Parts: sequence; structure tokens; C-alpha cells
Amino acid sequence: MLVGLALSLGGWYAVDRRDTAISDAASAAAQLIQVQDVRVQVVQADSLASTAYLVGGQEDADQRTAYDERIGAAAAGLLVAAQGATTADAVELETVNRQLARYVGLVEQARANNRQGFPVGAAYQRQAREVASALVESLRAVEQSTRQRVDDSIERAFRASWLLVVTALVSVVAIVLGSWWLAVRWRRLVNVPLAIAGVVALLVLTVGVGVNGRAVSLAGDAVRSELSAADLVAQARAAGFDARSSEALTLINRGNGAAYERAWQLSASVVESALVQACGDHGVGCAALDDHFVYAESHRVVRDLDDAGDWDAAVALATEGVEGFEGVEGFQGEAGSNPPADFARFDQSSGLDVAEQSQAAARSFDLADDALGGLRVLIVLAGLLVAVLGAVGYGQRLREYR
Amino acid sequence: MTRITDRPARPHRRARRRFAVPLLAGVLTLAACGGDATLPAEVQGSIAEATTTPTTAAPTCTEAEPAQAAVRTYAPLEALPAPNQMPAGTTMADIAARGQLVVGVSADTLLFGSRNPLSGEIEGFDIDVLKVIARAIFGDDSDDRIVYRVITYAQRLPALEAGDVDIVGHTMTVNCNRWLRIAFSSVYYNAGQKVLVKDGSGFGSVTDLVAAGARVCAPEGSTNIDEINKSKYAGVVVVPKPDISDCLVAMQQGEADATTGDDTVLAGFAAQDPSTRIVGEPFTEEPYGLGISRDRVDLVQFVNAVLDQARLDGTLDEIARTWLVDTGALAEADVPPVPEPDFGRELP
Repeated sequence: MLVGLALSLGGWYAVDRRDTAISDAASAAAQLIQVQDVRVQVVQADSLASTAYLVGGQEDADQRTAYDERIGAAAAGLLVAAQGATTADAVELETVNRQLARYVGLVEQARANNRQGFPVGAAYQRQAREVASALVESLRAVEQSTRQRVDDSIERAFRASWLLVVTALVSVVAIVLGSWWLAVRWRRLVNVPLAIAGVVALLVLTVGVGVNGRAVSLAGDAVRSELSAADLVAQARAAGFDARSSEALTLINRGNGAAYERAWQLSASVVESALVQACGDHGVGCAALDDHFVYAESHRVVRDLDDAGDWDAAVALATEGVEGFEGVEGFQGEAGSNPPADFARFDQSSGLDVAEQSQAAARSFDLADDALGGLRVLIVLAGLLVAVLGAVGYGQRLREYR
Repeated sequence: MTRITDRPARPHRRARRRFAVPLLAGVLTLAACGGDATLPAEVQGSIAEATTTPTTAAPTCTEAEPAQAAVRTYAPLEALPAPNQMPAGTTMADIAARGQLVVGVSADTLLFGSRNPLSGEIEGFDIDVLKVIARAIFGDDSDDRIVYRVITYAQRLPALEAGDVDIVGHTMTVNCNRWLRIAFSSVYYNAGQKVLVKDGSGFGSVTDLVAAGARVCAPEGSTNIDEINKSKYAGVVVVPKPDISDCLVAMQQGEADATTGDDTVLAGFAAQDPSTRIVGEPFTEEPYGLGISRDRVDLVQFVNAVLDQARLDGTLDEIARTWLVDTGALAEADVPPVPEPDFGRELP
């Protein structure tokens, strides 16, 4: 009977340990997606602000709205992220929140000066970008610690496996020993209830280990495939928008974009490395990678125009694409010469990938959670059954003795 | 000839090559570990590092190059060739054949060289002077004929030394240290270092700032910061910033009480922020010249001839009036007279 209760409690504990580990992994995974989304919103807003600065007083109303939406989404996303953060991360996110407010203030001042034709606006824009960079660094630190949390939780889930195995094995061994003792003591071969208890314990061992293993492998797969893919593509997106900002900045420094061109290349190398990995390992982001190659080609055209002294054409091409671009031979709307449209395609395909993969990861975590929930109940019931059977079996012998 | 920077190799090609090996290693590791389920490490970017030549210490003025002789330049060409008829074999003929004059300018110095956010055009005193040169070569100063390269203060000499630009017109003070690396045209404007303070702050001169121990902003690596760091201004707290326009931001954000810089630049600041004003007398002389490569003495002589003509026919006067008086930056009486040229420098 004691063995049965031990199996019940031990099994419960083992499954619970694992379930907690898996839900920790699931919430850390959701947190990672959340923080990355904030980062993408911020770099997206910054790329809109930089591009708007380039066109000066003729800032497009749609772009302005898009910028406001991104900032609003980033602020809202930060609130959600703060709720799911560890203490250390919460401190970092609070800094991010302050930096975001400062960033918005600087962009506003850049705009106000710009509208009046004051070049000091450029200095504000530069400062805003510095703040945005610091902010992005903070978010990356939070992402990194959240990634660590996902990995640690999954490892804990794996470690919790032996607990259930040991509990069930000990139960089986105890039942076998008990039967043997009873058999020797009363010179009977088989005690039916105890034998059934043994079979039940064995069943728990097999089914439990099986279901448990399935749950952990579901969670493990979610991390290894869907979450990894979402993580990589989200990183590519953040770097992609950063590259688009740098493109605008190369043009603000008319004819002398070398410094920001290096920044562009660095970001583009992150985009491509991340997507090559996502596409190679998970078959995700392959379309986004192709879209980025096309955008990279059209960026090259912009740089070539500016480097060759045709700044006006470079700006028209970078901000309005082929529609707003007349007068340069050879670029009549063929693929690879329309930065806004090409970049929008990358934005769309990569955004879709992140959404799909993060949803798939969440589904896998849910499945794992459901399986373990069922297993928990099953083990408790089985443990109680073993306890009852043990009591009945021992009682049978006791009655015979009397 | 202008050198256009070599286009860098396509990044994605490199990215593919670079990742082939780690990718394979990753797959092998994964296969070996089986159950290991961890997220991949954060993706780091990298680009091929351009080789940078170490910067040597700036040469100092020598006995043979006394500071007061800095404004001395090469004699102008005796006869100024007509536009589009540059003598064969000269730098001007090369530029004419190329069809474009490449100039290094500022895009954020209001009144001298700044991008007009409404039109996107770069405009100002320096730009108009450069247009005079373009007209002398091509008979045309449109954007088709002038390629503007926006450069920072620190890039002015390197851009000329590397041959990236033909002429630099960028509120550049003529001095003997710079003559060791580049050549200058005759002086086209005499600026001086002054201070900009907040209106109503009570500061009336640099002496007041010293007495009050005020925080004074100046751009790093400029002659302005060298001056304010001198022991005679030891009372002030110098606030260094990467660019002079960051100094106006610092004042607007309460990080500095004043900014020191050339009066021309400060006049542009005062125009952007009506709550500031320029006070006191200039405490340095900042004669502005166009910068040209040392190896292109013929271009220096040509530019000097063009500037001489512009001095005589009133063009330089007109440019000063347009940018300094008509904009309301200076009172007519405060505009310094067009400087007289000194052509006493021996041809190399």
C-alpha cells in the first residue's frame, strides 16, 4: 500500500517537475518572441524616421502614421514583456522604456527643426539613432538571457525523466520483492492482486516513460525547429530594417556614405547569415533570403548612383522606387532596382515566417503540456490502484493465516 | 582624376561561403548529441575589414613656414582661360574632360554649406564660391556639373590627399600646419572665433564665461577647441562634441552654457535658435580658403585667378551679402570686407 502511495506521489512529482520545466520553456519562448517583436518594431520605426528625414519637409502622411504605429506597438509590447520578465530582465526593460521615450523626443525635435529648414535637425536625428542603438543593445541582452532560460528549462525537463523511471522501477521491484516475501512466507506461488499491482506499475512505467518522452520530444522539437527558425528569422528582420535605415543615412551624407555603407553591409551580413541558417536547417526563410538578395541588388544601384554623383536619382530611387524615378537610363522598373518595393517583399515574407513559426512553437508546447496533464492524472490513479491492490493482496494472505 | 571607391564584394556570396562550414559542423553536432535541444547562438554579422593605414602624427609648423605666412598662396594664372577652353595637359582640362567638378562640402553648416531640407539642395556661402569655380571651367554651375560630397571636418584633408575630391569648400581655416599637407587658394572670407550664449544668461564675452566657470561646448579636433583649451581660458569647463552642430543640441538640452566656434558657424546657429546670441569680439583670426591637393598647383593658380576676378567684379561681395546680410545673420556693418589676396608664395 505504501509502495502504491509512493508511486502515486513520486510519479506526480516527477511529471509535475517536467511539466513545470516545459511550461517554463514555453513561457520563455513566448517571451523571446515578444522581446524580438519589440526590437523589430523599434528598428522599423527608426528606418521610417531616417527615410522621412531624407525627404525633408515632404514627409509622407502614411509613413508618419506607420512610424506612430510602430512606436505604439513597441511601447505596448514592452508592457507585455515586462510582465513575463525575470527581475534582472525587468530592470533592463525599464531602461529600454526610458530610452524609447527619449528616442521619440529626439526624433520629434529632429522633425521640428527639419520642417523649419534647420540643419541642427540632423544632429538630433544622429542622437536619436545613437539612443536607438543603445536600446536595441539592451533588448538583445534580454533576448540572450531569455534564450538561456529556454535552453535551461528544456534541459531540466530532460533531467526530470529519470525521476519517473526510478519511481516506477522502485515500485515494480518493491512489488516483486513483496510478492516473493509473501510467497516464501505463505508458501504460495502467486498472489493475484499483487501480481496485478505489479503489472499496473509496469504499465505506468512503460506508458509514463513513453508519454513523458513524447512530451519532452515535442517541447525539444519546438525549441530545436520552430522556435529556432522564428528566432533566426526575427533576428534577420531586425537586421534588415537596420540596413534600410543605414541606406537612408548613406544618402543623408550625400556622396560620402562610406561609414553607413559599412553599417549596411554589417546588417546585411546578419540578415543573410541568419536566413541561410534558417533556410538550411529548417527550410524556413528561404523566400525571405531570396527577397533580401533582390533588395541588396537594388541597394547596390542606389549606392552606385550616389557614388557616381547622381544623388538626386539615388534619393528618388531609395525613397520612392522606380515610380518616382525618371531620367536615369537602364533602370526602367526591372527587378532589383526598386528598393522600397523589394524591401517591402522581404518585410512581408520574413514577417509571415516569424508569425507561422512562433505559432507552431506555441502549439507544440501546448501539446506537450496537454499530454503531461493527462499523464499526471493517470499516474495518480494507477498509484492508488496499486495501493488498493497491495492492501487486498496482503489482506488475502492475512485472512488465510487466521 | 576622381577615384570612386571600389565597390565591395557582394556580401551574400561571402555569407554563403562562410556559413557552409559552421552549418555542416552544426548538423554533425546535432546528429551526435541527438537529444540536445538548444537555440542557436545569436547571429553575429561581419564584413571584410578595410585595411586602414596608420595615421602619422600631424606635422608641425616649421621655421620656414611661419604662421603669419599661411594666407600666402601661389600667384594666379596670368590669363584666365575662357570656360570650356582649358589648356591641354592641365588639371582643369582633366576636370573639363570628366565633365564634373567634385567638391567636398559641409551639409550642416547653415549659411555656409547646408542641405535645405525642403529642396534637398546643398546651399550656402561656400557652395556659391564653388559654383563660381564651376562656371569658370564649364560655363555652367548646375548639379550636372558639380558633384557634392558631404564630408566631416576631420575628412577635409584626407579627402584631398586621397584624390576623392578636387576642391574642398568647407569653412576651412588656412594655416601653416595644413599647408604641409594640402594647398590653399587665396582667402575668400575672414572669420573669427567667438562665443554663442543663451539670451539672458548675462554672459557678454568669453571673459565672463571664464570668470563664471561656465560649460563651453566645442567640436573635437577643431582649431576652436585647441583655442579654448589654452591656459588663458582655464576657468571654463570644456564640453567636447563630435560635431559642432551637436554643440547647439547640447545647449538646447542644457548640457552646455555656451558654444565656441567660428562666428560664421555661430551666426547659423543663432538663426536656428532665436534664444541664443553671439557675444564679444572675435578672439582669433580664421581666414577661409579653398583646399586643393598640393600636387595640383595649376588648379590653385587657376582658382586664384577666378577668385581675383570675383573679388574685382563684386561677386564675392554679393555672395557675402546674400548669405550673411539678406538672411539677417549679420548687420551690414558687421560683415568683414572681402580679404585682399597675398600671392607671395613661391611656386614649388
